[in-house]
Amino acid sequence: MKGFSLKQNWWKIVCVVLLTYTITAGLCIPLAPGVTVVNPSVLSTAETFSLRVSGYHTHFKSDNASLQAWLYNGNQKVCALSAVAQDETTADLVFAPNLPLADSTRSMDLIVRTNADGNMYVPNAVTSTDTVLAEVIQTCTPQFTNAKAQRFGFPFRHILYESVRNLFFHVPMWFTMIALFSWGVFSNIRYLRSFDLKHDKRASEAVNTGLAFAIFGLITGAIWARVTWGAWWPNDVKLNGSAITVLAYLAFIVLRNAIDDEHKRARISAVYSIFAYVMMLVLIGILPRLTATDSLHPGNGGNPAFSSYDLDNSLRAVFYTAVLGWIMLGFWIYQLRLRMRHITDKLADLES
Amino acid sequence: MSLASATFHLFRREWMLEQRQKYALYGMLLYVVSTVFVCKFSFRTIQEVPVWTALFWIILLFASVTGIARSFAQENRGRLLYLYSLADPRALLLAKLLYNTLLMLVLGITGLCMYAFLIGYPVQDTAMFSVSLLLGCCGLSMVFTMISAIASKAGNNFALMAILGFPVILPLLLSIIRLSKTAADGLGWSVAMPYVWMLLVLNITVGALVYLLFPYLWRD
Repeated sequence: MKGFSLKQNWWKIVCVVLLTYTITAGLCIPLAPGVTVVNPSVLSTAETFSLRVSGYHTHFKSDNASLQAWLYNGNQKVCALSAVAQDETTADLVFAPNLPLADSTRSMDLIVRTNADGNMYVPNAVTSTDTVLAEVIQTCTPQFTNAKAQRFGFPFRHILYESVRNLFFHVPMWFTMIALFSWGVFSNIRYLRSFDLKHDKRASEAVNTGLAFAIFGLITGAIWARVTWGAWWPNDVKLNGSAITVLAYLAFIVLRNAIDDEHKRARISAVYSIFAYVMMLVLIGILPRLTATDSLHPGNGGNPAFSSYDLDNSLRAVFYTAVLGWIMLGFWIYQLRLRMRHITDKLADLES
Repeated sequence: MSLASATFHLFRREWMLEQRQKYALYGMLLYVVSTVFVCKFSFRTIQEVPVWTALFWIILLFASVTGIARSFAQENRGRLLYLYSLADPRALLLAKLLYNTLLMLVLGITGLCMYAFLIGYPVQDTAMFSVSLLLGCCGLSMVFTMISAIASKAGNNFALMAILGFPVILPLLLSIIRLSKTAADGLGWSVAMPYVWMLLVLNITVGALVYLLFPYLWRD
């Protein structure tokens, strides 16, 4: 029994540190303040009207002095006549009649701000039932000095809300799966070049571990989809593509079990695995980008990718460490499984 | 013997084998025709273009699985060993690919005729649909020739052929269905070109993979 060697095991310590950071930061950093509900959201703006907004993590009451709100149609702003806080998370806003609505959507965005919370944005918050657009264009310039929120937090996004934290769990699962499967295919190619069974064992354990991550990816994805899109399994090319990937690698395991001779098994499963891997790259990587309409994921089907506006620096700081940490964990588990495999094989040899 | 002439002779061998057991080819054709009849009785007519194209390609998918599964299963071990000692495995593969592609085209055209005759023909751009049929049959035959070779090494299990083949064929099948749908809707070549390129690239990739990997399957 050899002692603990720091030279060989430093990355496991790094992995534990990264994942501890991911889980504590990912679950404990609060969400930035935001406005969840505007009531009513469809109304006639012919007369003076008031809106009741409900906030999340906001400080309407304690920062009542700096509470302001305005509606925005893309180039003009209309300030609230009065903004009164009922409590920390509820405020009543009163607006003058005849809004300059945006032409295409007949709606306006709402921005509520306090110095403590910063600007809180609600897209298409108010939709008008009026048939005639306002002729009198009333504009204003909101007055504030400190444009930056005082509190640090994950960005408040509509539809996502608190579930934005799933970014640190769902997305890295797929990255880890791809990393492990790639390592598997690399080992398969090395097997075909050397016919050394150790590469075959590596490939098979990489696939086994990768499949576990794929299944966790599907589960976290299904939960996230239920919360944000309203269905456990919405129609989405990327979703179906990853399910098919899981099926292909399950078929790989069935194929391996169907062949008894271990050299033959290694060779044939290597051929299938290389073949399947290339098709999977096409299925997950290229096809979703080719079809314009049927994906809900960012970066596909005309949706912008995460990096362009969804991922701000507070998320990025945790996301990158999460990806690195989960990939390291994947390879750690893979290494343990490989060792176990060597030992069971050796035991089987001794018994026979 | 050069690769080309070996391929030619092996192709002739495939053709002669087929001549000797004609019932197999007729059986395949009958399979497609009866599947179309089953669809006829369950759907009567199909108005929606997406359903029409999807159903057509699903019929061809199953026809190709059953048709091409024979490709390696019908050869017994001794005969394969004999062929292997005579020729380059690549020649054998090329002969089988060529033969299976022709078989798929025959099945596809027959299937399309029966399908159009019985269920309807909503296609507006027949030239483009022919391109999709050609590319689709090539792709299906290549992928399933490979899968058939793999499955024959693992005990010729028909279920294995399906579970190994279907996930792998999916990118190809989705692109073919999209191209056929574009052809049926008559949306023009500018809309179809991405799919045509996609299919060409997929066919070339699959072809290259099969050509490179097949010799590894072969040695025993």
